[in-house]
Amino acid sequence: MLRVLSTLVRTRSPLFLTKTSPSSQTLLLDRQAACEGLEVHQTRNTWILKRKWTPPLNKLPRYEDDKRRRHLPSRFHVYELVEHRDSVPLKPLEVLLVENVEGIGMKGDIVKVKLNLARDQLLPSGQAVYCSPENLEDYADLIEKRKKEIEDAEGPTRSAFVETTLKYLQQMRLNITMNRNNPWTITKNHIAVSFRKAGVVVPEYAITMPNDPITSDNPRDFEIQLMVNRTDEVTVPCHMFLYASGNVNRAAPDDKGAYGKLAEAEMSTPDQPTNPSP
Amino acid sequence: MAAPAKPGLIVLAQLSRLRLQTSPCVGTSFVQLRNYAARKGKRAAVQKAKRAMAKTEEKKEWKPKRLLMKDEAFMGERPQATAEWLARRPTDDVYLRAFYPPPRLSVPDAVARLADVNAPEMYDNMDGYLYLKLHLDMRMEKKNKFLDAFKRTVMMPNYFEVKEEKTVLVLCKSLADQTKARDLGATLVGGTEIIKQLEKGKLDKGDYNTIIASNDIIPDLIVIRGYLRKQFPNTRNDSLGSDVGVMVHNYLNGVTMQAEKPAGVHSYANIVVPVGRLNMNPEELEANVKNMINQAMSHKPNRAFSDKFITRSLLTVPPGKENFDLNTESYIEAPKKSNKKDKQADAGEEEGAEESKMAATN
Repeated sequence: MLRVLSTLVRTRSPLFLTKTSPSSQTLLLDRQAACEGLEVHQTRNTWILKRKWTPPLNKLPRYEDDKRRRHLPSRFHVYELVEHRDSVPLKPLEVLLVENVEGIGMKGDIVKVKLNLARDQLLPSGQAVYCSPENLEDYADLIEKRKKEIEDAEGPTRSAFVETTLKYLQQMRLNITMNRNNPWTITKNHIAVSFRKAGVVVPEYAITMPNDPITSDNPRDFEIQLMVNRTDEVTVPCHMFLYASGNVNRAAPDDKGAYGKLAEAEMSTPDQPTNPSP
Repeated sequence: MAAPAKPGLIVLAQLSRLRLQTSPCVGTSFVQLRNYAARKGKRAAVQKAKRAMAKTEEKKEWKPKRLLMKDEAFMGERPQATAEWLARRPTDDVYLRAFYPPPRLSVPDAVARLADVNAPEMYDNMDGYLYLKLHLDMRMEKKNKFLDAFKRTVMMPNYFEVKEEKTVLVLCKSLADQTKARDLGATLVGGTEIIKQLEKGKLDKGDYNTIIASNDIIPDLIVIRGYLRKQFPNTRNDSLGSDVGVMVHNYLNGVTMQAEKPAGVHSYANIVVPVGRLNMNPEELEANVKNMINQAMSHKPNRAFSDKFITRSLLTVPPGKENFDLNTESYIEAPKKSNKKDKQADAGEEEGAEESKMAATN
């Protein structure tokens, strides 16, 4: 590092210190040009500096091995920082996916990913290749196939996030809040709304309800089936909550089951199991 | 072995003895003979300046740097809101909302979704208030200047009752206007005699939410401008004009929207305001939302930092926690083409615009 700096310092450009060959007399005036002349290091520890005081021509060495003026006077060794390469944010890398990768993309997709993800995971495991012209030629069939798939799609198509969604649905419990004062029978709309409240978008056609209807007379926990993309089926347990609108004392849900002690006392009859196991 | 006395000590002792012998009038103590201040207003002026300084100094609570940066940064520009993120659309039929940008709906669509949750079978809250939340960008072209939080009462195209406590003080000279204001329900109506009472401290400005005045009484009212400060009648918030009856009616039957900045934040503000009841006709609600958005847009300064004054608008019905993003752009009306007169008015407005200057921190 120090060595790089020292070579930079000894160059002859009066405005910018560049790692161009010492013999070159180019006067780099703007920052862009200065940056282009530099070798970009993989370690990104290059510092681009600018002289604060421009030395007059008579202070500069006159030829390559001018012994008389080996160094500039110390007042010309004051520098200002133009750019530190380490502080420049890294650009994402474009890669071509050869396999379906969860949360990133599908086979044949060209995606922009973080450098570390590409270098540590996608490229070494063979899930992706660099987006070079040669690779684009080699995998042209794959890319075209994927493009057609997207264009011809009618209805839902499988995305890279579907695995994550399925995992989330498998571990989730759906809370359904219904009114305690008014009569109701649970419909697919109520399930879809409850899913939306929980941050999952579900169309009504994907829901399969239990055979016996759930009504306000007999609120209980139950299970529903979800068909994701018309291919993957997930079972989601549903948990009933009763909400008392207006100024009625609200039944607080407890660990045991569907409704709180107040609701339990009011609704329990010998025939109905009011405290279903969660 | 006794050490010899240090010469320096002896000298010191001698000096102290000397000082004791000198008479008090020759000594260093200064006796003030004059029992009045040399410059009469000096002390008062200094104290006044000190008080002003104490007011401007904001007490800063300690906060972790991470949170501090979050406050000061502009919340409208979230790091993930890139063009790529905004263009992302779901292809699955079942998906998690967190993976995609929130859909931007029209008012009837959002109302339909809110009506689902608030139906009698669920929350049973169909007559609940529909609230509009607006996120405002308060930055100006100048880096340390920000638009001040504002408050304004707006008449809605479709009326609905709002439970707001409104106390109005009406000041006008003509008796006809006074009776009109009294009939409409103003809390207190009067002329110059009320101004004198305010001046003497017999009436408190804090008892009234707003003060409405007619143009003819302004020369008398200017006397208490220093006392009224922000409550001083102003054409911009419709509290100063020629027609007192319209102003009082609009204030008492309108909805008050108030831009509020969170503590310690200058760059953005939020408005939370009711725009109707959920059981109203969706088209009526849409008209009310459109009106509210355009009224908020009228506060956009000429030298705003960006064209996008309203960065986000949401609809919600408490106590439900769901918010639905609105397609704000479709509700913003293009500003009217300004002729010369309007331009002059704009310039004057800009000079008078309430802009707060933030001390450059960090």
